[in-house]
Amino acid sequence: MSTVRKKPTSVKKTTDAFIDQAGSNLLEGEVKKGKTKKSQVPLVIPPQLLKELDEHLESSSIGLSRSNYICQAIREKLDREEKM
Amino acid sequence: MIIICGGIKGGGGKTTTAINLAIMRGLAGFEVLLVDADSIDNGNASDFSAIRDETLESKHYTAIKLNGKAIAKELPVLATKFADIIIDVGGHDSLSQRAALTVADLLLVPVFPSSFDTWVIESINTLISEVNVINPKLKAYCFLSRADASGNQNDDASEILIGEYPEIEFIDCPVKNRKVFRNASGQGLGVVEYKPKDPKAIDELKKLYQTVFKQSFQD
Repeated sequence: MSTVRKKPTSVKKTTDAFIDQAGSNLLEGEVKKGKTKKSQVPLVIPPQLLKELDEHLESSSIGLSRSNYICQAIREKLDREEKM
Repeated sequence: MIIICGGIKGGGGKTTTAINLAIMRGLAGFEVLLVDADSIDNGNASDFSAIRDETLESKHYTAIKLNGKAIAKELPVLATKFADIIIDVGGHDSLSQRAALTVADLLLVPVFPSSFDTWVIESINTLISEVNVINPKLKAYCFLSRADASGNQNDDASEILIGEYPEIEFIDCPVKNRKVFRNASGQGLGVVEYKPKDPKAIDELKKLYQTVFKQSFQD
């Protein structure tokens, strides 16, 4: 007997999707935004650069975390390089 | 028949409706299952059933607590063993209520006659139009509950509820705010069992019973 992956039927998928919208009180056609699972990666960073980052975040009033700041920096760099 | 006493706002009288209909149906000789699907543990159908167990030899219904997605799976199985299942859900858009909506025959929404309570019917109307794709047999009724004994607030609320929401049928079975509901539930009794009898409250519940079950109540 072959081994098969357990797949929910399309009816079950639709039912589950409806049930999972609980608490959303959505207007028709709206879709609840699911939480995107983020990956955790170790980042090797020179101490001086980390110090500068922390000082910058502390002095700015943006209230960003280290992670968010680094993610924004990555995004900006990627966008810039894509345009080149 | 699987009936949800539901809605997405608290204080409308869902638990009171559920327990009284379950008792009346049980007294009429039907096998009834009362499902407490309210995730909040105080002041719900289970508490009432516990008091009723201490008060009477027979509750005239079977009571269970069931929550979450499991409801969608278990109710159709339980429906083969009971003539009627009455589900009391919490006063919010919960997983339990949505799961029940996917398999139920009737959503019964008690509406307190106030602006806030009538406004949320629009959200329930949307909810039903969404679930009807999955469960086309589901019907929805709303009725005035804890209605004023006098004044024109009931008429104002009725006017809003009649015809404005295509997925929900307004049924003219107002259940008025009467002391007997509090007195009876505090003793683990249904309004039809409580003495001294309140004929007006009993008549209102009988009318609701007849509309829901399409039979007159005879115990």
